[in-house]
Amino acid sequence: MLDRAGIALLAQKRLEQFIAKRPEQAHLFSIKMTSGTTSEPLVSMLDNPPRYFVAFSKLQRIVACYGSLAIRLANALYVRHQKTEYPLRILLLDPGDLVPGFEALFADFSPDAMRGFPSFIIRASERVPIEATANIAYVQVAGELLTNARISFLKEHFPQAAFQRAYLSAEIGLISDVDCGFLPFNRYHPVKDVTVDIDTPDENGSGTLLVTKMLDEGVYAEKYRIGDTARWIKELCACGNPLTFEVLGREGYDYIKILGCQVRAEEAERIFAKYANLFDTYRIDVEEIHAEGKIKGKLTLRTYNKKWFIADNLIQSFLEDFNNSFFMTPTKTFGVLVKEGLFEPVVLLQETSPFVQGPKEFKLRMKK
Amino acid sequence: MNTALQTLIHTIQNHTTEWYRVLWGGETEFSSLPLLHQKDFIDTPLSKRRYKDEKSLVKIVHTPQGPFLSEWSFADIAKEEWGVLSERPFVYLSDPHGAIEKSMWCYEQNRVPLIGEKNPDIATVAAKKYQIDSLIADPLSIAKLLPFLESRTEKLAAITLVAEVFSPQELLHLSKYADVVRLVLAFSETGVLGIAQLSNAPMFILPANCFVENVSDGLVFTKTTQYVTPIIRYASGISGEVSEGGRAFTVKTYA
Repeated sequence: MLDRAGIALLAQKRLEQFIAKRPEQAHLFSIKMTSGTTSEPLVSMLDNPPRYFVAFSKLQRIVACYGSLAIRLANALYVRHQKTEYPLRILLLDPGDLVPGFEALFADFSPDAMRGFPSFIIRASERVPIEATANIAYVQVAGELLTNARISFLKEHFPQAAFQRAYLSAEIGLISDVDCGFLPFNRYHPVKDVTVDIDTPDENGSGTLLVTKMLDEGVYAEKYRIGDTARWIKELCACGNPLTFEVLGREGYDYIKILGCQVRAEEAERIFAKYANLFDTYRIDVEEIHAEGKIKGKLTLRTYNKKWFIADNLIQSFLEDFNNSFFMTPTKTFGVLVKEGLFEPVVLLQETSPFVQGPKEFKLRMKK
Repeated sequence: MNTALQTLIHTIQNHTTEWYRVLWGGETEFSSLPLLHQKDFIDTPLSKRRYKDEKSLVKIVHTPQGPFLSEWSFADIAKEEWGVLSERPFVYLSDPHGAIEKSMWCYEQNRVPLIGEKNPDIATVAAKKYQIDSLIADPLSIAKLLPFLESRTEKLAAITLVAEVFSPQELLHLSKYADVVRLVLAFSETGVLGIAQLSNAPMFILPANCFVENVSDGLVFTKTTQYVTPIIRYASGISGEVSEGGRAFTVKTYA
């Protein structure tokens, strides 16, 4: 298996070849650094243009939502060199643009498409009325798992949009083929020059996603560990493609494994959404503890409400619901796992100040 | 009057977009045309001050009075003198929209730029690996790169600093890091207004498509290119002196 250290060496070799001889057509190449959720800088050479966004030729005004400046630049480059029917404009949003006055700018620009990370698209869309996004024709998302909550939001705010999904890695580029239009969210067909493997699948077929791909002549990533969990879908897709994989999430961000169970961000969102009137936001600390002669799991829920502290009786009511509703395996709730002695009873702490937030909001944390 | 400017004003006066016609209120004598201010950009949606349709990059410009959109065609970005041509340019700017714009300028010169992500530690790791040979930055962002610049054994071919305001005395130390340090005076909505070699009292040379007037409000700039939003008698708020030939200026105080 190739890990990030291995891909870093490959990327370095590729960069050295690039430095030795400047390309004749600069616009076919871009350089990016990535740290992302795995927190290790790499230099990658990615070929332009992105193949997965069909219908660029029909568009006139795109809003792109990416945290990385290099990805934004690649988008600008693609707009510059793509043959289009209309003069195509692109607005490359920065998180710092979501300030008072943004709504008017968005209306003025009047996009017909949005593309980018779902969480960023959602943050931008939350700042404008639904009328401003209702006529957007295309929404293209990549780079993050689409939870049910995100899918619901996107469908509500972009009722006329055709959704296009792509699965790619910052280090090795595109992994999924052009969206066939038949796949549910989070499912993809591998692109033809990529091999996907699922390593050490569990009883549900979920395992570590490995990708084999030729990056460049003489430069090859074999069984590269993306960092996501996935499984094969056995059913034939309506488009006829026999190969479909489903991405289940990124360890450390979408879920945390503990003692054979999973604390899933989407599951937490589902529970806490019912109590939005009590909690403005939350964090879940996950840890293993040594107690009663065993290793047990422990969850600490840290909540924040900027207006007030929540009364004990309301907290108890919430915790009862949490114990009974929060699934940590396909069949067992947290409460059942506590009764079985695998986990300590949940602890809830009300924080007195807001959580510090970086570019990505990590709601789950594994305490070492 | 300059032929290119005459043509531009004629185009503007006959364009379907009304913005300048309303601003000018029927005035036809160039030197009597009302001045353009940044506030006019803030107060008018981009869609009401767009004078051409080309493939373009739209930027959000943040000001204390509020944000506005500034649109630049890729063809126009290519013609602005944002940097010095080198093999492996590095673009590291405080303004992310400006960073994209200057990086696209590099691509238009057929060079692959490294665009520096916000975190200077990540940006400098990439800069080292890419073996950069020139830098486009601003006075704020370059301060974060000083440890990296200090660690280099070779001078960069050029450092270009892009800004609306310069304190040259505070920048003089950068000369040891590059063969050339140039100052590019620009507002997001105007493009390049003047280029100077770094010195105690920089003399800004006007780009070929730009000329300057010195009026009671300060330096007023006009550019003869038909940008998406053309720049006609833009009041910069800068007070300065224009050289005898009219192709250069020095700055007394910035806006």
